[in-house]
Amino acid sequence: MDNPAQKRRFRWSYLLLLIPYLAMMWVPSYNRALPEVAGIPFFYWYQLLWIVLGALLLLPAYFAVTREDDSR
Amino acid sequence: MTMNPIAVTIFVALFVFVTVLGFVAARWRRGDLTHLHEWGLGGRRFGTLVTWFLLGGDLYTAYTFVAVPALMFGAGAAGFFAVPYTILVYPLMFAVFPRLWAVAHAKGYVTAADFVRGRFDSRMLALAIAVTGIVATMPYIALQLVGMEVVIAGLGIPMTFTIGGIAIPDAPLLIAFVVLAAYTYNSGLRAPAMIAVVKDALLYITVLAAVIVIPAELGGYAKIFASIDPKSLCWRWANRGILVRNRRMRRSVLDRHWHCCFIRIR
Repeated sequence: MDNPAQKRRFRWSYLLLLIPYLAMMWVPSYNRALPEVAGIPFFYWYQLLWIVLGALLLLPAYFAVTREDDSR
Repeated sequence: MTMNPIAVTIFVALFVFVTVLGFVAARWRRGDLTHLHEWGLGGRRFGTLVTWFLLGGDLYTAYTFVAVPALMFGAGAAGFFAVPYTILVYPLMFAVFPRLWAVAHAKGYVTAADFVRGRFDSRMLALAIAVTGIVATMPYIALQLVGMEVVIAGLGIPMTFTIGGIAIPDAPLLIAFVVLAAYTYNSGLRAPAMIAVVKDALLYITVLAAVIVIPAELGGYAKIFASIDPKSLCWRWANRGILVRNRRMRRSVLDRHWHCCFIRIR
């Protein structure tokens, strides 16, 4: 079976994708009510913030992939 | 419950509009719908924008808007699992799916079972994957039906219709599901993709209402969170018990905060 995936070089930007896993699965690090932002307890706004951070951490990997596709 | 004429009118108008769209979708980016990849994958010709709409419309459903909020209302912080879950699923999908798409495109696979059959050369494994996929979808469809029922009942539409002396239970649900099945059968993936544009617009309106209008009506986020039982404001390990230290603080103004801040696993 042809498998070009095995010849591909390792993409360092993919390591960034692991960061949200560390942050979100370490529940005790955000399991608290303070400090609040706009009346929202820490537990809630911190996780909502990670939606944005998670998307930003995806960007380098996304650009790495699209650049590779363009040059192909 | 009495019917709100405005809400029912908007609901019926949207339902009719979406139904028409569902059938019209068959002509969109026209292809021979007798081919499975045309019917089931829109001919693999959906671009980034259409796929974005389709994903938005398919991921955020009655589960997101009825089941998860209901769980949060009942269980508190534990129901918030849906948010980190979403955060963690996207990087995983990003790492896996473009490759899966490329292989499926090159080899002409339509379903997950096709991929497994091609990859592992096993008809039985492919069959197991197909059966698992169908069975695993059942509870999810049941959840969507319950969600539809809640919405229809919430509008005050009677759920049981009596025609000629025979009572038909869940008649509005039945009608809605038959119509949905009919245009999906007729148009394939083009139907949900086209409807997703309408659905996503409605989702954005709902989200903005939930984030801006509802807190304004209820007196702000601080007031909403203050009215929540402090014990359900943060995550607690089920069956492990919790230790609330510094009980002297419990009657203070910071009551709910101290509950959360001093929760420890025994």
